[in-house]
Amino acid sequence: MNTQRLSFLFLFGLIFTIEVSAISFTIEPHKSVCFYQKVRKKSRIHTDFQVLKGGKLDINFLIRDPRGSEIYNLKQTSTGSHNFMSIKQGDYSFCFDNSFSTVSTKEVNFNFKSHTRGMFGANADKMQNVQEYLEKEKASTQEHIVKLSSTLEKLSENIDEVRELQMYLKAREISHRNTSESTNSRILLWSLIATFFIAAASIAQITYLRNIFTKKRRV
Amino acid sequence: MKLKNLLFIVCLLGLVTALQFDIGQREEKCIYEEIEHDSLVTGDFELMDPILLHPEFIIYNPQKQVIQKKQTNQPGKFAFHTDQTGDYHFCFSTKKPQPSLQSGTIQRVSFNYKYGIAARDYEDIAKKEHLGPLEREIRKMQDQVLEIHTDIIYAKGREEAMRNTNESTNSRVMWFSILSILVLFTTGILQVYYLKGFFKKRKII
Repeated sequence: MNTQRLSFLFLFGLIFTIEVSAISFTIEPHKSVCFYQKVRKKSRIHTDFQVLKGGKLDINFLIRDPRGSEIYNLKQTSTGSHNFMSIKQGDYSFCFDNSFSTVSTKEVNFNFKSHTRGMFGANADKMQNVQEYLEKEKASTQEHIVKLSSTLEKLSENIDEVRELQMYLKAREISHRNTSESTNSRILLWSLIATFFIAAASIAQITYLRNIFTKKRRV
Repeated sequence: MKLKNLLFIVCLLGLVTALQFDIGQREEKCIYEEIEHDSLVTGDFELMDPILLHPEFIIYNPQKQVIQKKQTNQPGKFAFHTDQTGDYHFCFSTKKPQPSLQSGTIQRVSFNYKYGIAARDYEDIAKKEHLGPLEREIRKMQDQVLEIHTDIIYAKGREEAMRNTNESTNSRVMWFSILSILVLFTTGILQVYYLKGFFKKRKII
């Protein structure tokens, strides 16, 4: 009976909820954009952002808790991330501020992930069935089940981490691609302008000298 | 298999929370994401209390054409299949004339979307293929690993394309520098010869 209890508790401990958001958006100069998220108590929150395009690729980032007090404040950075444990339950706000910029519109990629112990919503009912089922099983099968589920949990978490890293690398690649495409077109433009100016300058020099010696003899 | 009936919710990978943001009058706020072709995209939106504005919800494809338009009077859902890889924009727009309200009115909107594996309904797949709950979760993980693998190969291709762009930029800079030195040199020599001839003709030299 005791082992049954223990395995129940273990099982409960393994169940958790992960909530993920990954978005990209645009901010005009002198504007700021805020995103709000409902977060439960004692959740591990992970956020990160990258500026993909625009100006000096910098943005202000601010996290506030449901009461409005600042948790994290970054000024004019191009990438950043912050992990924290939520103490209060409620709407956390994640604000991006482009007000220091005069002309450049910024494109930003933002990832949010929250990891909460316990099951919520529809899955809480399913937990009921698990409990009922386990009560019928022998102790040995329960141990088996618990070991299997802990392996699956680790596997799931690892896949999750890989996905997270992949999202981050994808955003980096987009940002680098934007930079190199802009460099490429700037070089083309510069080459054309410079060639034009060289040609114009040499023609102008010759024409000017000719004019001096043709119209008046003021050598 | 005895475990077949056991509901193991080991992980809820791909569950997406609603992100909320504010929209004011006469503006369009967009969220976009680069999505591969042949992906299922689903999502939903809702206006949070107090409901003061009724923005229109529009989805644009990478060519900036409208895929779907929806009114937000009721909480709504959307779903579509992507036919090309590119940036898909999900926009809330209050550009259409709204009943005149105080300037500075803002409306909080809740929105979320998922694509790829996360958008697939595994309950449905489990029923069709007669999978137990544990097997369903394993199947989900298997599909996710396959998706990760496909994405990595795609990212590798893109990195190669970017490397080509960079190398072409590099060689363009080099050739331009050499060319400009040659042009300046040639122009200088031509100028000198022309002026020499010119002055000789005018019998100055």
